[in-house]
Amino acid sequence: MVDKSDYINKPHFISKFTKVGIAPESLINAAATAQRLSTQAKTSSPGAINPCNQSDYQHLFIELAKKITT
Amino acid sequence: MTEPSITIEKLQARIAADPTSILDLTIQALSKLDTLGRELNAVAHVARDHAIARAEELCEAALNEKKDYSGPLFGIPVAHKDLYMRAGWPCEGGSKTLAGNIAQQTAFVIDRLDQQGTVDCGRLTSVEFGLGTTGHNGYAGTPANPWNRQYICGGSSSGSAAAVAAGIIPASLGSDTGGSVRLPAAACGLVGLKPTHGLVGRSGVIALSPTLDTVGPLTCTVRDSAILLQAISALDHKDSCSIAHDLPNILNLLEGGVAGLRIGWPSNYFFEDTESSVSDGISQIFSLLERLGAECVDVEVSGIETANAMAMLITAVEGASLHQTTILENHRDFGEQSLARLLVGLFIPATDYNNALSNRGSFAKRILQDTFKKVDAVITPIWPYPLPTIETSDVGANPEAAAMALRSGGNTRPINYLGFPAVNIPTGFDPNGLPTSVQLIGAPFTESKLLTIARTLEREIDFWATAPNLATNTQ
Repeated sequence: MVDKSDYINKPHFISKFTKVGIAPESLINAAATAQRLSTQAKTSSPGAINPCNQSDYQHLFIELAKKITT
Repeated sequence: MTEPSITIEKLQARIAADPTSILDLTIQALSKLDTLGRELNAVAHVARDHAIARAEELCEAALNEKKDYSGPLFGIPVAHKDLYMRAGWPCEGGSKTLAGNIAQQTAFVIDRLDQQGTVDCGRLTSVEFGLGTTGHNGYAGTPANPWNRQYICGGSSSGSAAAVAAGIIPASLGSDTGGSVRLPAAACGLVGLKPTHGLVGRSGVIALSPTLDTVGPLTCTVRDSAILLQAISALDHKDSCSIAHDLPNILNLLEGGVAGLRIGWPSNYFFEDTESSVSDGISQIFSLLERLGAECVDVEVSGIETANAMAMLITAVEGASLHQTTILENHRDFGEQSLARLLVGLFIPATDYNNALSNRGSFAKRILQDTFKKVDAVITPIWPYPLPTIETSDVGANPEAAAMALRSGGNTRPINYLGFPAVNIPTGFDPNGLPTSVQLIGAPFTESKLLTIARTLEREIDFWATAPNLATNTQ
């Protein structure tokens, strides 16, 4: 269950968007969806934060591009 | 095998015999874009003056033998999704927030196609900034499916799919961040190719998620798909993800059949949320491939459900980042659903976004090792359910449509996270007369294998023995 108050209690962030007319309900729904996505993505696995990993992806494809000919 | 009404190869044969036909073909395409294309809500911009001048220039060059007109794309009329910039042309990305916008640059792939001699006839309807799978667009219009106009075209390259399936043009470039080439291709009975990450340059294309965005062709035939891929794949120095790769001559490989190729039926994820009428059809295609000589096996694509969420998370953050200023200055000009999807990205923790990117390399390596060492391709559905109507899938009007829209990209989005190639190939028709299809997913840079399997199916299935009845399918 999402605790929606977590988000609406961050006034400086929320107010930036409510001030321009975006409905608080829209922001609450977006926050709930964001939390669900983060949970489903299971991204908080320990050891995942390694700056080299992002360039590893590109390097992997660069190497595959050289190797694969069919 | 029955040919579709127009293909690149058919038109090229006509041009090779008579180069002056370039002008006739261009005028026909422009006329159809203005009539049928607009009826279908498929058209964003018709570039009549440019296209006629270009056709005349190509005719003259061919007649004076200043240009070799034997190339497969010389004189071919095309039009592309309204995310592809050409300097001086309108480019709105399907969004009111860009109303009246004139492009200041020309996309890398548009330049490539110009060099090959295509005649660019205009831009086609896109879901707002490519952010949607059903094709609904309250500003630019919701394209109708040429096979039955009550049904969706899928999205976000909805206008591209409608225009090609209706025989207005033989080919169009779409873009695919989470399935936006493959979903509309599947809905409209087309070959839709999402190439490998980095294989096709993206500079000059309005971005949704620079990490996941991919340029891909929609065509009626596999051979036409190969022709376009061959033309557009090249190193783009303005795209930091672009990768140099020498593609083999794919057209020469396509008729090789499937004997000896290993095709995997995923034992997890892809069929779990798929309705049985869809699964049964794919099972028949899997059996057909086995009869044609492929080695068909069950295979696990371990952890792929996580890739779906990772792709959604990355798209949400990067979309929100790209559009944050507009959200603050002009949010009322966004469609309601687009805004709702963009706002999600504002609430994703930076750590989760970083981790989604950081995990991508190891994730791709693992799937390569665990799955694609065992098979050459994995077969899956694209749409997990029979194609819905425009009315039933309208998230703004039908409360049940949101869940339906969320499910629609579940079989395509994970492939964008991996960055692997995938192709949609039409396989027949559902009881409503709408196309059915399969997705074939391969290892990076194995487009030729995927297209060879797709070509084998295309020859066997003869999908175009039935054509959309454009005059009578409004009921």
